[in-house]
Amino acid sequence: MLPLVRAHLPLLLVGGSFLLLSATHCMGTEDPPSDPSKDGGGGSKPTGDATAPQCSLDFECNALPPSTCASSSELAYFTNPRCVRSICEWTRETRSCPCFNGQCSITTTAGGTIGTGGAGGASSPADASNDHATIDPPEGGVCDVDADADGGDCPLPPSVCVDTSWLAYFVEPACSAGRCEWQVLYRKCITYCAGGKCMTNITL
Amino acid sequence: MPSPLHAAASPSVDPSLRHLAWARIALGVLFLVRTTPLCELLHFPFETSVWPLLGWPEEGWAGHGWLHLSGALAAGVCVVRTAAAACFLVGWRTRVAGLAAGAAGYVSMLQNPFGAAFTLHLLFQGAMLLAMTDAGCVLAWRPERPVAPRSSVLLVRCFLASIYFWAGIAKLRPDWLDGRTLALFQADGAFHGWASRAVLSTAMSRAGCATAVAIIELALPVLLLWPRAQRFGLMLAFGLHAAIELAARPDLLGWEMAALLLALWPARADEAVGIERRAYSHESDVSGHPMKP
Repeated sequence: MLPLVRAHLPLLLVGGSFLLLSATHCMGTEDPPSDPSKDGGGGSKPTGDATAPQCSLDFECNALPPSTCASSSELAYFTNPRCVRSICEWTRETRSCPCFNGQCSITTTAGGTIGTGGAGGASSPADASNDHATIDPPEGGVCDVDADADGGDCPLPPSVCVDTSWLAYFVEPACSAGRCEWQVLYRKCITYCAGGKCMTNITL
Repeated sequence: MPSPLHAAASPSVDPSLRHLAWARIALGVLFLVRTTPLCELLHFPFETSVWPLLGWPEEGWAGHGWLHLSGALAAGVCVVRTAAAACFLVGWRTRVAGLAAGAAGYVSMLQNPFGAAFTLHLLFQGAMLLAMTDAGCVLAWRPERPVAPRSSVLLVRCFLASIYFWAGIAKLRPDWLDGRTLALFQADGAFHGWASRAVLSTAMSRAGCATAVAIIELALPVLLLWPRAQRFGLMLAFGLHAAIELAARPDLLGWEMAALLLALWPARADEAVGIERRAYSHESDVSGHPMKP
């Protein structure tokens, strides 16, 4: 047995190292916590607790915890995913709004609508399907309804990663009732999504 | 009848054949891991759409690839690629299997305009390269007859040297050498936390690392091809990939390079004597002179 191991030692070493790496990956990826609201606090601060998933790279934390209602008038949501000492951390932000079921309940002149993002933005992304997470469009801000019809007054927001696989990007800017709106489309990244981009493989 | 493992370890077998077989087995495993759901099973984050196989036709937008096959044909190519890779791994009709796996891999890759990653290029080219060598002569289900073991190793050596050479040349530009590229990778979270904090924390350290990588990559072709430095070159190459693997997660490219580098493993001292004798016997056979004992 020993001569056999000695004869094939380099292959065994490379294979063993690869298996070790695989084992580390298997142990290092878990689902994000379902309710991180117990991190408490308000405003903007880093969060991460014992139930947070383990990680080794920032993009592994891109699956943000769901927003929650800190109170009936305050929404708590999470941004800035990062990996700190092998544990995922996010920044907990708050905003004042009538909050219900983890969402801001906004009433506009056009009628009631619910969304975490606020008044601006179009709803129902055209190509959203059930096999990936979706986002609400960001708050649009005020625009001039008399400007060009092509939405020139409403610059497109930067793309965002919905999770580690899906990129959300914005098209068809429009000024509707004095607020900017966009349509959200989704694209599955070939490799992974990080920093609002579909990443390519790095090759040093 | 001895097992393939024992047969390959026999002193009568040219060690080059064993080393080439190591490279074949290692690359075959990586091929199957990277192009099948094993990639997801092992939680590698490089590829998100390997179900049921890499390149499987999906509904919805896929862009305009270089080559467009119908869904059924594209799926068939994926199946052929996987079956051929499995045959290549176990050493069953290695030459045909390796060439088929690589070619089918390219056809499936060209379906996706964003799918042509360096990792896949190396995987498919590596399989085709080893298929053209004596990599299927030992440690194989159906061993093939050796044709030119030393020339086979030289071919792999030249291939690897060319990869390092062009990688080094591509880095001779200001935005790599001053560390800006590494900073962008860092901003995208491509490096492990310890590397960002300890090695890449300042602009100067990033520039130092970037320059060191470029220098090593430019030195490796010389070291791998110069007979007196081959052993050092091999260790340096393994060290480079290990360091990159520990600092970042560059897909499976480093592992693929390591798999191919196995083919260049130096023969042990006792094996080297055997190689000389076999070479002499071969020359005597060819020239018609009597063989020395």
